[in-house]
Amino acid sequence: MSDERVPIRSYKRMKEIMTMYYGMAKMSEGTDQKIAWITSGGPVEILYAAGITPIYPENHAAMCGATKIADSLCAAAEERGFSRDLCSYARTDFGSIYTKNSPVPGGLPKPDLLVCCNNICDTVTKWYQELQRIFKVPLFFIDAPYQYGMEDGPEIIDYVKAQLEEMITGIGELFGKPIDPDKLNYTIDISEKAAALWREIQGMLAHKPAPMNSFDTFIHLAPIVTLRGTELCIEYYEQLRDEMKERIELGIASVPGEKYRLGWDNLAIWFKIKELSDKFAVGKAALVVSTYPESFCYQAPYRDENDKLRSLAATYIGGYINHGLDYRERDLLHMVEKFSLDGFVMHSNRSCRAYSFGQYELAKRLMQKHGIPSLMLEADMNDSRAWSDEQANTRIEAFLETLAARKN
Amino acid sequence: MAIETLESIGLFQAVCADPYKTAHKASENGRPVAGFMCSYSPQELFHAAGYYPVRITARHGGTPRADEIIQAYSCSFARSVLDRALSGEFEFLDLVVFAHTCDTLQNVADLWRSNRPEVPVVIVSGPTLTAGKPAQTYFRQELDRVHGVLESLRGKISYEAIWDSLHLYEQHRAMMRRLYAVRRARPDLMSGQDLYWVVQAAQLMSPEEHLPLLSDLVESLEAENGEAECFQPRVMLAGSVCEDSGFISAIEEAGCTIVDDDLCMGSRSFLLPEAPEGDPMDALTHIYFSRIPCPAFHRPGFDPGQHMLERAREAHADGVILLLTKFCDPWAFDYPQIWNTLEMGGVPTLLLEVEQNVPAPAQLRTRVEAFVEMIQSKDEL
Amino acid sequence: MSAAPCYAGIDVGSATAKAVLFGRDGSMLAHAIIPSGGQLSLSAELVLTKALEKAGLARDAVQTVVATGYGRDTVTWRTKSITEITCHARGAYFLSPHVRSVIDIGGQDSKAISLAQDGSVRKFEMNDKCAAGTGRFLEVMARTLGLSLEDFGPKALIADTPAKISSTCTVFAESEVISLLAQGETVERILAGLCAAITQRVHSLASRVGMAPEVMMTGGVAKNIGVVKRIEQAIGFTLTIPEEPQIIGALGAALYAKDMG
Ligand SMILES: Nc1ncnc2c1ncn2[C@@H]1O[C@H](COP(=O)(O)OP(=O)(O)O)[C@@H](O)[C@H]1O
Ligand code: SF4
Repeated sequence: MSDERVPIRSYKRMKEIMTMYYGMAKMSEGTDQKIAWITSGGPVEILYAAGITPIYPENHAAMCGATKIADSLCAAAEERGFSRDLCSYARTDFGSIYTKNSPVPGGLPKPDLLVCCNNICDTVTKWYQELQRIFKVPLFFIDAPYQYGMEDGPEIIDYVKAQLEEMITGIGELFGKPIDPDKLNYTIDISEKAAALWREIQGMLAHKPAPMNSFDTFIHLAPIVTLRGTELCIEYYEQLRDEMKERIELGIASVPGEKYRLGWDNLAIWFKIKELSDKFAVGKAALVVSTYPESFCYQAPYRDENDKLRSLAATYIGGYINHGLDYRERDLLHMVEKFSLDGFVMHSNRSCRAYSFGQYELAKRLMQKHGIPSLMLEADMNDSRAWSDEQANTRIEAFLETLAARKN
Repeated sequence: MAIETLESIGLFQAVCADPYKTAHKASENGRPVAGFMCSYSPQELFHAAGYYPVRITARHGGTPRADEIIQAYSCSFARSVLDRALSGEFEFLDLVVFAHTCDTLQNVADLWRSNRPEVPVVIVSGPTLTAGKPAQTYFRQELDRVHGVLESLRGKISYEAIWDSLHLYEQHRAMMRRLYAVRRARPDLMSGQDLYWVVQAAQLMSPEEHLPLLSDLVESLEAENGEAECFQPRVMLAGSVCEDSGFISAIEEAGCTIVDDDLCMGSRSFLLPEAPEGDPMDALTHIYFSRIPCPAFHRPGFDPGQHMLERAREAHADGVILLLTKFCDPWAFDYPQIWNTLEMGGVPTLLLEVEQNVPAPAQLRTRVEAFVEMIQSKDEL
Repeated sequence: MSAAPCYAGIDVGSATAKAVLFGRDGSMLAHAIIPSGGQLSLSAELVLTKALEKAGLARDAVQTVVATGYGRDTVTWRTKSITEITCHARGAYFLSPHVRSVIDIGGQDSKAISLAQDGSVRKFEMNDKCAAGTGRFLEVMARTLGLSLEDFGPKALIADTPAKISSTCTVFAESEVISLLAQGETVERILAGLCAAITQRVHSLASRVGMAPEVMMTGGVAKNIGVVKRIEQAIGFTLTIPEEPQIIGALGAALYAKDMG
């Protein structure tokens, strides 16, 4: 078997789609086409049903990270008084608003409204409060309370549903054009379809050897974040799924000679994504599942075909990171089993307290209760200023060595 | 100042010097003790259930045990309380109460209950959105749930009992507002440090114990004649510190008079609206929804900068000192807007980044002195 | 000796003590700088004596003394003490009324100050407790490398690219420097790396208060051309360096003393 890694063909299509998406959004700036800025876990179906273009500052911030301009944008936000300890996505985007520096020429198109759902963290709550102060446009806030227990009760589903209803009416009133319920139902359907595809693709990584790895899924995440609720999204993931099928049939491994299978917890380290992918590949370790991309195909246990909005509400309570540690432990174990994992890489992400605090405990439980080792990688998703290659390399190598010792 | 005033302040100071002594005493007398993480929990409900309420506070010193289970980029308050819990310092509590607030504490709650399962933990998972019907309905349901949990622990808790506690708390809050009013009018009657002995003691004592002492103090202060003579800049404190780690005295020694605050441990705990009569659970809901929203919450239309500017003006403050706990996101996000609004409103502002488990650094003094000079030069112009 | 009254500003720093004397007519009479020894009050005394000697004045000519700097409160015979933040701003504004920002790096602390149009302090930031990003750090490194402080800056400018020094903690950086030397790194590149490290710290202070031209740099480290050039690159403005940057705090203090009469 050759050690040559075979690139994923669909990548090119994805780049085209994303360029087109941002290009069209930018072009609609200043026209009648309305633009909304929305959090990654926000109910985008409502926007697509209303014909509003959604823009994802988080995705944009990640792009800035991957294109290595995030540091200077963060610095620009710090100059405005934002502490260096704040979420680097937020700082990156604030910096981009001030400087207009962005991979999207001229910066993101200005919003006509903002949509924030705190099912990922309450940092977005603060972030969108600030966006509202900057842009002075309406903010639709969906509160999805953090769930300390294992199951989401009916009260919380009702609470989120009631807010979604208010948002639907609110947007209709804002632009004097009520949202067509059929259109909304249809959008919810195709959004679910895309999520199901994304789920299917990720499930394919359970195959040994895995046809792609988590570093790839981080990159191929962009359409499910930004375009779920569109036909294009489905089209893209069908293509990607077919390519994965083909790779499995042909025995193409993402990491040739795959020896170890690992899970990843937390967001990507965007400015090192390629280097890390190579680093693990050299050590014959494939990262085959991650808690982060999983959250975009989260399937709520509650579902009611006759009440699509209530089902949508259940989905938007969110999964992994909007739940307590017992729930997260269960999820991680499930991943260990389904993907035959040898261990976890936990990105202890300075930017993200909601996601990171609890990792030490989870790593401890995985080891003590289930014998699964974890590597703690102290970093940040976007701010490279505290990153040290040497340190990270040493830790990764040492971790792989312990895995080797365990296998023997 | 009258001797009685001095004596009564001494009582409060003694309580602060040995923070959990009062709670221990209550415990010895057979009363269960509940520790609270944040002023957003409906203490009245727990009080009605018979609990003696105390605030869970940080303490000075390293946090080696907490460092094993939470990253160093967590705020010092979280790390310190966690370390105390892990060290068994809260073993005397019968109940630990968390309210849902920030991303950090939501994880701390979990870490606490999984590493210290001996003491039951109750989490009041209120909404982050504090406006609108859906959120109110949701909170009301959560209160009913907590009520149920408490009844399972303590037996029947009648609405009358809840009302009794509510009324007691309201009296106490009203008296605290009077204390602050005197403070604003006559900062010469006692030091800011004295004021915060009283304020801190309020977090460590049950209201029925604190209120009589407080009333005596307020009445004796109100009886003082004369005019305030104040040579020092009047300063309002704000921000995310939950207790005094020597900042108060350091700030005063550097030449400020603290006349008011917008602190979570201070005025924010008692600047609450009056509860409407009727269903006590609705009254608690009303309080939750109409208090000054802590930055960890979302209240549409609330403008933190404008709010602080108004508070500073009410207090006739010459400047505002913002105490920002390092790694406290909710406040750090609001800080630039607050700073800009205050500056535009002509109120100088100083940001002091603090750690709640270490004493005020010596350098703090230079910063505060420079700030005082800044205010004074402004006055001269 | 003449009996014309004069006004003194004394800046008792962690590394040096500085004195500036002003005459009644508003002219600067003399200044002096001495290393501050263990006993700060004594250094204050000595530096004042030295300045008086230069001006040819007797001690009783001194009408008012304003003390500033880290050791300001040890000067028991001061008329008043004022913080170094206010004094540096005043001194810098006196030298050039166009100054809107001041960066001061002394022996033990560094600060960034933003000035309003009238010269009053608008906003300021100071480094936190550790010595990283201060003059002391550079002194220790110069000693490790067997260099004089005077040679530090010019030599650092020779290198095209700085060596990467990841630690700004004095203790760690020292061992890092030694191991870089062992790896065959040139002294010039190491010096440039140290300047870059210190700049990073100061830049974050500066950006928190916001820099606007004219930017003046004060304090002893302003004499280090290597650091000056790097800060200029980082903040994107050229720095105005006064003829004697170390005395700006004392100058401000002397101006306040004169105000008091
Ligand atoms: N001639 C020089 N060349 C380069 N750096 C110098 C020179 N003189 C002093 N320094 C630097 O200035 C620092 C002292 O600055 P100073 O402003 O006197 O400090 P402080 O006010 O804290 O006493 C020294 O630590 C050193 O790094
Ligand atoms: S200080 Fe801030 S981050 Fe820490 S617990 Fe309080 S609100 Fe949360």
